[in-house]
Amino acid sequence: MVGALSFMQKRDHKTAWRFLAPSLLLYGLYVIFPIFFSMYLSVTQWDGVSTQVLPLCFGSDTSCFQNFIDLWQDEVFWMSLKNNIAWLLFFSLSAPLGLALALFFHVKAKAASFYKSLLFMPMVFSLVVVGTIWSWFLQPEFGLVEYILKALGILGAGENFTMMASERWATAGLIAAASWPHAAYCMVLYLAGLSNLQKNVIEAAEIEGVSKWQMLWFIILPMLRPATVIVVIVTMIGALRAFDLISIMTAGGPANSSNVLALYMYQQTFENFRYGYGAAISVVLFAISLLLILLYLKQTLKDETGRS
Amino acid sequence: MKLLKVIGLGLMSFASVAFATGGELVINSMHSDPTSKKAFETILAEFKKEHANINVKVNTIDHESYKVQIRTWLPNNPPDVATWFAGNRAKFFVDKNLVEPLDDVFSGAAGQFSEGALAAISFNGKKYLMPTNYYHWGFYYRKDLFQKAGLSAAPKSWDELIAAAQKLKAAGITPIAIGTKQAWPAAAWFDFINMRVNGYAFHMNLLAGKGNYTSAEVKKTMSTWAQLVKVGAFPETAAAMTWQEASALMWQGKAAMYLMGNFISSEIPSAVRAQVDFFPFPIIDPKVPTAQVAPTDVYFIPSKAKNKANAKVFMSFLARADIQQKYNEVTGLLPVNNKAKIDVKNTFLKSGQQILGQATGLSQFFDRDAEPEVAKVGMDGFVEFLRHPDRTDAILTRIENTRKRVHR
Amino acid sequence: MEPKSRGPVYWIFATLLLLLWISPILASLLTSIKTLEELNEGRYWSLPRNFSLQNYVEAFTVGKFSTYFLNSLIITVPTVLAVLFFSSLNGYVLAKLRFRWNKKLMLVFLGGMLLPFQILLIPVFYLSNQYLNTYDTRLGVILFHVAFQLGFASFFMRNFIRTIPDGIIEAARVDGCSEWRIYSTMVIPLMRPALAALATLLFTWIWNDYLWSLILIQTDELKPITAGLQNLKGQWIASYHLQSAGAVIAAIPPVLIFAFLQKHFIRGLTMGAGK
Repeated sequence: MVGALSFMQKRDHKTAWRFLAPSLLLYGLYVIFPIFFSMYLSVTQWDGVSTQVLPLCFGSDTSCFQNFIDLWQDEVFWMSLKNNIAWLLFFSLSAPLGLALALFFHVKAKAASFYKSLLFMPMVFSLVVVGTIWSWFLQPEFGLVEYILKALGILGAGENFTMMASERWATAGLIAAASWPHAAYCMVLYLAGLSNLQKNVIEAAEIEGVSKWQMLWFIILPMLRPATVIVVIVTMIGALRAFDLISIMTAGGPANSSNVLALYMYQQTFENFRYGYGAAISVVLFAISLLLILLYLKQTLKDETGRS
Repeated sequence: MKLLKVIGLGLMSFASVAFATGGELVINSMHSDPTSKKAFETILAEFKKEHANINVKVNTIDHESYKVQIRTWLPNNPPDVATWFAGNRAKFFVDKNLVEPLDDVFSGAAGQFSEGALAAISFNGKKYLMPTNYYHWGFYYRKDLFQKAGLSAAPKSWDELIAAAQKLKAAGITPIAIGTKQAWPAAAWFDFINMRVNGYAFHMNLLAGKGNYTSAEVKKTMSTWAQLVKVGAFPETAAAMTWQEASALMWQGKAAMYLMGNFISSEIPSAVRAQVDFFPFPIIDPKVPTAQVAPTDVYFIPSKAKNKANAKVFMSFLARADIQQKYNEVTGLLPVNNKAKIDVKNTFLKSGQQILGQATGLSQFFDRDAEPEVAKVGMDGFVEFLRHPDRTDAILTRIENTRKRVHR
Repeated sequence: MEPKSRGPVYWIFATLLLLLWISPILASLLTSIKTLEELNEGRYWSLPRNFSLQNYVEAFTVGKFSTYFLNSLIITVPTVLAVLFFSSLNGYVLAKLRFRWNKKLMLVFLGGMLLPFQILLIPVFYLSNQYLNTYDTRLGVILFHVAFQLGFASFFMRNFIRTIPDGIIEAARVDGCSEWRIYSTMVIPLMRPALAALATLLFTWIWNDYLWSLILIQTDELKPITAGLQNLKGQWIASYHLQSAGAVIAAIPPVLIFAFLQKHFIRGLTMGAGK
């Protein structure tokens, strides 16, 4: 029996390698190897043109970690990091927003599914499309928001809607735009969660006569916990990945006030051609993400063992 | 003389035929706006007529992306011909041996380019770039709005400009339009004020990385600029607008003046064309000789180009007076070949030719004269300055630190 | 939780909420059917004087959207097919074969899907440029997308394939079926709903990508629609009418997929994210 099993295992291994080979090759080349290559580049000063790239400390008295030392003293780096933290905090609000929308539109009616479809729609838009639409929507002087605010008398005749021109508020405008499709995504997940809730528990609670808020807080939310954990992690990863929208709506401006690490890395690399420095920023971004990735893996493993 | 020219042209086309090997010619162009795209297509049609055996392929990439992407393809997969700017922005590539010298092409066009024009495209004693046109910068303004605010003449001095801004502001008109979503329009202000306050030589030295941005001279430039910022001459919304969106403020009668390059003159809607006029950047210190900003557009051959023979044929073609004339009849800009004629009925062009002719020096533009990195930090700083003139010292220190690191 | 039915007050409020939610879309739709003359006069938010699809025509012709649109299809469709094929193979291995590295491999796939793209940016650019010779080709973008999406897709397929009872597969093995035959004639037919769900998700993601075509494609004629939309902005005249039309065009395919395959799409999302 033991021999038979090991024979089967051997056969399985052979098949496994054969099935996996093309994927592993691609994945290794395009996903695994680049992580280490970026780490290497982060200790060099590659300009994108030279063919031979050595670490900074080879044959010179510069520290190998000069890029990281420079980062530490780089105001824009800190500004970007601060904005990334603002993104982590406020972009996460798409989750409660999505939940609120889900609860509000969790309704029995034919029209409701039509309403829901329209609400979901931003979710399938490219962020380039979202950025283009929102740039126009929030545009001072000409945009719809300014027009409505003026029509309502909130803005006077000579005043403008200056959100996207303001160092303080531009990031808020960006996060609002990004939350639009993301809240729709969260709403989808929560709606699925809501329809899977255990009926008997809720019915029992209804018979007990608990209030609506108690029901939400003590019964529905705990039952939605698995969905929430995933939503939160995906949201945080999204906050760290923010690039397309910012590059299109503000390009990090005014004066870097809405920059984030992902965009700053791109600018340093492909606009200023400091590949080594860009790689150093990406390594920092990777380190922060790694915490979240490990958290996610832990949660998934827990779910796995819990179910099987 | 005319006969000579005909013979010259004949020889040149003979030379082209002799060089031309057929095959491909790949051109990367950043001229994506309708006008200059049309101009390029006009001369391209001419080129194809003269060289039917060359298969020309053009990649048009939008201006802003082009500037970013050129670094990625120039060292690795370059086209045969590419568009670019004169000045330090080109020198960077020349220093990395990425640009093919064009001395042989220019020897066929001797005497047709002024010394000043050649200086802008020569590095380390060799000529590298083919200039096709340049353009002047200055103020475009609405005569009707000036009248409405009780202003009779265009400002000639700095004090008059500030007074005009105050009067317009009082009349409920935005004095000066500017869009800094892309930061470069703010840099034109620095270029002009610095050249007017400290002179051309100081400015060029500073941008070449040899000056100090925290010096008393640069601080004086910024405090002069601040006078205008503090009277509220610039709109609060500037940072959320591209330069095109800001120009709409002028066309819609919301803003009165706009410091821009002459490429804007071809975009003025016909409905307001009669109300728009031009004045050069005012004098600040009468003792300082007047220099101007005149960015020059160029074409060059990447040193790793695959079809260099065809590219050289194209360069000789671009150097010709008749071609530069045809090209710039469409662009509305000034040809660099001094044998090419301009449209005398175009008042904007005439003022341009006049002020550039009288200028004691021509700068390219902040982001063409300074190192890319310094330019980026500088321009971001100027955008910040427009909102917070009180942060001048911090901004200048930041630019200076970058300059020190880059020119280490 | 059972949905309840609601009264008219609810519906009024719901309608207002919906209008507010889609007002950015309505703004762009309105602008996309206005003429430049009307916008130049400052008439941005009045109803258009005459309904015109001119901007759409212009986006397709002058804005080269016909080329960009086609490029997006050329990049997206093969990518989706390749990912479906490879990820279902991987999923089968991870779910049904006794393979020593299964768990570790799954963690690698799963972790990779959450990576910040920036850590891959320079190396992928460099590899494509210097070694693979795929810089500035659509193939280069396709290869990267296939590789990157394998992480999520393999995990997704594994979770579905796991739901097939082991008994059926064991029986086929005892009958002497090769693993390839089991995979292709038993597993794939059973996995049709999962593959459909995955395909809708992948299509949307690849179609919507901007960063990688920005990095890996230089030639205008090869760019997908997201990069093309950004190109419209580079024009020297204010062009919100064209950009709005372009945004609508770029959004149409994912919206169509979503409209017609909503069930698959949502199942994909919920299954992919949660379980």
